[in-house]
Formats: sequence, C-alpha cells, structure tokens
Amino acid sequence: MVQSDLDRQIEQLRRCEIITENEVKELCNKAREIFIEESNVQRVDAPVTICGDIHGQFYDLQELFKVGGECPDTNYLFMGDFVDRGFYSVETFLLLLALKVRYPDRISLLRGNHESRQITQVYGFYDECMRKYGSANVWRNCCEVFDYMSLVAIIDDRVLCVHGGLSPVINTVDQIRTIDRKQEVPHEGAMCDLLWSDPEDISGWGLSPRGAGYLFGGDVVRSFLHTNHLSMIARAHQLVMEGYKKMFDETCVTVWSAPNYCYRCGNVAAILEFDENLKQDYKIFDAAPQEARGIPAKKPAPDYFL
Amino acid sequence: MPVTESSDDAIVQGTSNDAAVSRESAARLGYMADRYIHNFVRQPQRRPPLINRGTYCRFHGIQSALRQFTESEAEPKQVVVLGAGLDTAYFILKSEGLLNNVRYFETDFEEITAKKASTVYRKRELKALLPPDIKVARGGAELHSPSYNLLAGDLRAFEAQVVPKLMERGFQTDVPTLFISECVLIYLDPKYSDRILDWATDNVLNCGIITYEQILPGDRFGKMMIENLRARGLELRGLHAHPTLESMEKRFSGRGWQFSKAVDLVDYHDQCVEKNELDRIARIEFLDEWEEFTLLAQHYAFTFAYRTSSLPFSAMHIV
Repeated sequence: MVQSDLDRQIEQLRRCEIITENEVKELCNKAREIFIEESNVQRVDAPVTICGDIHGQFYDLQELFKVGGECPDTNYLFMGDFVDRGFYSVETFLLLLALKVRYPDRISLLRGNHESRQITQVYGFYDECMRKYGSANVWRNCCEVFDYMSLVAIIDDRVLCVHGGLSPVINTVDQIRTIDRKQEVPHEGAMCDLLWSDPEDISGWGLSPRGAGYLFGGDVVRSFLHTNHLSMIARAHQLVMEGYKKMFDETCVTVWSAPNYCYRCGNVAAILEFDENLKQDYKIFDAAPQEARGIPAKKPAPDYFL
Repeated sequence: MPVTESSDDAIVQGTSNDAAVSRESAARLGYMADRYIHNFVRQPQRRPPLINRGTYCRFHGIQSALRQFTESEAEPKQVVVLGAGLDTAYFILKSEGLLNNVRYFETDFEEITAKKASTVYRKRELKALLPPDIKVARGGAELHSPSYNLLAGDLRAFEAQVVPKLMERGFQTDVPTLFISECVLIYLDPKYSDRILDWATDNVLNCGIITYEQILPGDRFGKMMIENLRARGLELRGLHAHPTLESMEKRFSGRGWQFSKAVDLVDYHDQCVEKNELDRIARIEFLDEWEEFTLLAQHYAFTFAYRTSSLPFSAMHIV
C-alpha cells in the first residue's frame, strides 16, 4: 500500500467517511500482517495513554483524541470493544486500524469481547456493515483481523492491560503466551475469560451474570500480581459512570472511554495516562456536542421501554 | 413553536408500535410465549439483549398480576387495560381458557383501537379468540361483546369519554376490577391521571392496579432519558410528580388504598423472576451490557396496589 493512499484514507476516516470495500480489504490484510507478528502479550513502553471501550461512538473518539492528543504524537493503547452499539463502528474501527498500519509502534489495539463474529451479529456491527456496504464482505474482513489481535499488553513489565480480566485457569503471564489466539472468541476457557471477566468485591472466583467469563476478587488480583511481579491490572469492559473506577487498593482499575454510552447512559468517559515513571493521570471527557457531529445531524434513537 | 396537541398525541400513539416491536423481538427469540404479537408488527426488529430482557420482565410482571387475578376464585371479575395499545394479553389468556367469567376492557385512542380492531378482524388466529357474539362498532374503531370490549377514548377525558362507554358496555362498579397501566399514565399530566385514580377510588370499591412506569428523573441516566425522549417528541409528563418508589406507593396510600408496593425492575428481576426462568433466558443470548441493564432497569418500576384488603387482591403477590 502506498503511504499517500493510507494518509488519504486516514484523513477520510477522520471526517467519518467510509473508504471503499477494496481499500478495506487491503487495509485489513496489512493490519493482519502486523498483528500476526505480535505476541499474545504485547510489550508496551511508557509513556502511554490507555483507553477503554469505544463502541462505535466515532465523534466521541474524536473528543478522546482532543483530550489525549493525536496519534502518533501520543502513544495509545486501546483495550478493545471498538465496535457494536454506536452508530459508527465501521468508521471507528477502520480509523484505528489505519492508524495502526500507519504508526504500528504508536498505537496498540487489544481484542475485546465484541471483536467477535457472534457478538457483532447481535450488537450491531454486522448490520452496520450491511447497511453501509450492501454486503457482508467488510464485516468478514474485519472479523478476520479480530482473530489476530493481541489479548493483553504489559506496560514496562509492571501494568497488565486486558479487556475483561483474569481467568481461573491462568496463574502466570507465560500461560497467556501459550494460548492459540487466532480464532473466534471461544465460549469458555482462558481466552474467553480474559475478554469477559469482571472484578467484584468477593473473595476468590464467582459466576458472571454475563453468561461468559468469571467474577474475580481482590485476593485473586493480589496473588496474580505477586506471582507475576506486576503492580496493577488495567481493564475496560464495564461501564462506570465516573469514567474510571479503582478497586482493591488501586491494584485494579477499570477505564471506560465511551461517554454517554449508547447515547443513553449519561456517563462521563476517561483515559488513563502513564508517564515515563508510570505515574497515573486520569483525564475525563464528555460526549461530543451535537454540533460536532456534522450536518445533517444524525439523531440517535436509543431504546427505552415505551 | 409549541408542538400541537394532535402531533404530540400521534407520537405517544406511536409508542404502542414500539412496545409491540420490542415484545415481538423478545417473543421471537423465545423469552416469552406470545404467539399473537407478530400479527401486530409489520417490520420486525431484533432488539438488543438488554431490551429483550427488560421486555421479558415487564411481561412477567403484568402476566403475573393478570394470571393471579383471573385464576382466583372470586367471580365475576373485570380487567381494564388503560391505553392497551397493541397488547396481546387478552389473546394469550383467552387461548388458555383463563377468561371465563372475566369481562375484559381495553381502552386507547381511537387511532389505536381502530388499527387494532382491523388487525384482529383480518387475522384468523386472533379473530378465532374473540367471543362469538362480537360486534364491530363505531365505524370499525371499537369491538363490543359481553366479555371483551375494545373502546376508543382519550384518557385525559376519562370521566367524560371512557367511563360512559365502560358503563354502557356492562362495567360493574361492584365487581372486583384489575386496572393495568403499562407506560401509559406517565405520559399524562398528573391532573388527568389523578382523575382516573380518583374515579376508581370513589367508584370501584374492590379494585386493584398494576402499573409499569418510569422513575428517577433526577440522576444522569434519568436526565438523558428525558432529553432523548423529548427529542422524539415524547414528554413524560407524570415523571416529576411521582419520581421515586416511595412516591409511587404514596400515590395510592394517600388515597386511602390499603396496600401499595413499588419495586424497580432491578429488584423485580432479581427477586420476583423465578431462578429457573433467569437460567432459561440467560441461555437465549449473552447479556453483555450488564451495567447498562441495571441502569435502565433502575428507572422503571412496577407498582401494585389495591383499594381494600379483600379477595382476590389480598391473596395476590406480585412485587
């Protein structure tokens, strides 16, 4: 791919305009070549800004970049759930993918539980691809990319970043390295748990109300961090009204980056900046104002019980 | 420019379609057994899992009230569905033989009842469940029979428009009567909905009610809900008058009703839906948006209340 083409695609996607089906195919191939080289456990150096769920809220992602700085000026780590629920999953995921191909060392993308064939058929990404391209090809290309994305990242050997959380069948980071990740997200097992689990004020492990993954307590986190010489876990996956939530004496933090989630929840969003000494700075941001959403303004119509 | 009342009304009337689409989505996936709702939905949609689950809980609560009421021994009985929309409860209960000796009244705007009457008449499986002595009335806007009546009227003029029709169609004030309001009273200015409750209080000694309405307008989710619905032209006019579970209960206890209890949909889901049912619906589809379901469900409540502590209401356990 010619770099000027890629730059033009990035500019186009930044305006929330889709690129052609052929361009998507080429971009996905290129991205796969990069992801295939990455280990299940990505090494990331601080300073880095970590981000939680985006869920197709394209204009709110633009707010995120305003608050956190543009890529490649800022080094980013996104912890998954780029697609589904919002109105612009296509533009959101393709923009992040294009930035990954253009600046592979300045942006890391981890897989979330929504980066899955099964989930995207329920929660909107599949329908959006059909609506915007008239065929399932773009969806299929993107799903093939999902299969190659890393599962976790470790910042400066100290902070484990993952979409969901821990798994009862994983005690060490080395065990994560042995997972065969190049597949659809399974319904159970280590890979599923990493993408689906949630921290909870319990001791040990509990059943998850989501129907996949587990609930894990502070003791589980302490023991995992101790075994692996880590200091904290940063994860996404759960809506928090204040944008971020620290748990278990700050050994586990949830970062949520989709403000006014689903155009309905009224929450603020956050990103977490680690400086070169791993000092943490949380930045809070709100949903993009309606004027920023372009003309004609797309009126979101979130569901309620009427 | 102020929105005219009639265009405003049309949007409220549109909510009956929205509710039917949600019910059809959940029913098609197997959350609940409703063989009839598809007849009322022209363009089926797949709703997100959290909406399907909430729709299931709503159905569960209203059905629970209807079944306990109709299965109780006291006879005869009456059901009055305020703003029935395209609800199918009559057909579900009728097909199970649960409406013997029950007079069932549905009321709504004429635009809705006319649409419902025409659909019911066109669809054989629905028409077959109507009483044999059914008659089309008011140019197709109403259905009349001794046991089932679909009546057109504006709830804002309850005493002037709706009550006379109920009376004319055989409503008896001395018969146990269950009123139902699913997201209906909330759209009315409280001065109108209060009159409906006052009328029931003053005239129907042995009556009960189950309502399903929004609560908590003041937090961030609530404010966004009001804003989003307003953008669609929907005004929750009753929300600020009864913003909490306590105020929902007080609405009835303050009128001297002997029992009133309100629960939000989170507690209803956790405490009133049977464990085996929760296990069953959990297998239908993953509910990933758990926190969002909790947020949404905190903003809806069932209120069950009855006027006097007598049968059948005093034996009913809904919430």
